[in-house]
Amino acid sequence: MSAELSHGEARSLFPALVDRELGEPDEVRLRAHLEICDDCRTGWTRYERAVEKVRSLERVRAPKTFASQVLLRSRRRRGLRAIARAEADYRLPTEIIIPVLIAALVALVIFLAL
Amino acid sequence: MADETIDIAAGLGDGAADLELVDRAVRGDRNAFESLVVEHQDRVFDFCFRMLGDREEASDIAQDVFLSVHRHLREFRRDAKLTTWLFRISRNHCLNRIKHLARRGRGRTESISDIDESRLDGSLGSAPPPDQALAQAAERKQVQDAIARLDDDQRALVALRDIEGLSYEEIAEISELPLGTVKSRLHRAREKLAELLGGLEP
Repeated sequence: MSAELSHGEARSLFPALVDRELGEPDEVRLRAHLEICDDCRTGWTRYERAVEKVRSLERVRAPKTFASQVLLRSRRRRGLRAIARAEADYRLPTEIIIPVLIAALVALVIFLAL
Repeated sequence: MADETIDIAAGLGDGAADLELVDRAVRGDRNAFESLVVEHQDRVFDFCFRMLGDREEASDIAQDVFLSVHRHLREFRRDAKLTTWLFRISRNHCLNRIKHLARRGRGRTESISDIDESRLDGSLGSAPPPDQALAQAAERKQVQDAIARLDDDQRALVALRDIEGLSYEEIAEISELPLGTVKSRLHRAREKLAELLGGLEP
């Protein structure tokens, strides 16, 4: 890059400048160009302001119940997977396994109540 | 920007703590998985919101992200950062959802301006005066609307770099793009934002 920057070269340095990753020699050259070039200076001002506005956005927080919803859904999926595994292991369809499980549960409740 | 990136990363809890939680969660410790969710939910949710522009959609997709994490936790490579992996999953889920919504012709139902102050991550104890709050809310809406007008890849890059503060190297890993491509696409995205937001200034 020559000592004096072209418009294209100047604009190509905007990302590094806005990220504060531009080396000092390049920054000096860029700022010198921005001093004398109205178009590039306007372009830089808009570029920098836009990036700063995005960076200053406040983070939107997850709902308070978010973690519990995730855990609930993961438990439900585990239950469905267990039924699917029982279906595969015992070669019995879900339509038989679920009523059998419910009947066993009811029998247990009655037994415990007696 | 570099200092802010370091501060943001430090605030997330270090990588070693994440790995310990992952190891415990893989062994079936549900409390460990819950801790992982709580630790990272705000970042994932915010990213999904920036991508989808809708709070309900963001909540659904962010939940899907963590369920996917739960399902594939054993496959997580210990040489990578958990946040990189989380954002890669989040990005993929969001892009798929955007395509799905586009096919169905569904628009967004809620913008950031519909979110009241108490739902934002800010200092709740020092609310600004009403006119200032309105001006701030209006500016936030302008910025979010401008982000929404970027194409999907550009939106993800802006969210990852300028909102989440990730490094270019991490973003390249997340988006599976070469580093140079990430930088040039982000630059074009920022130029577009400058054009959109610059046109609104007096």
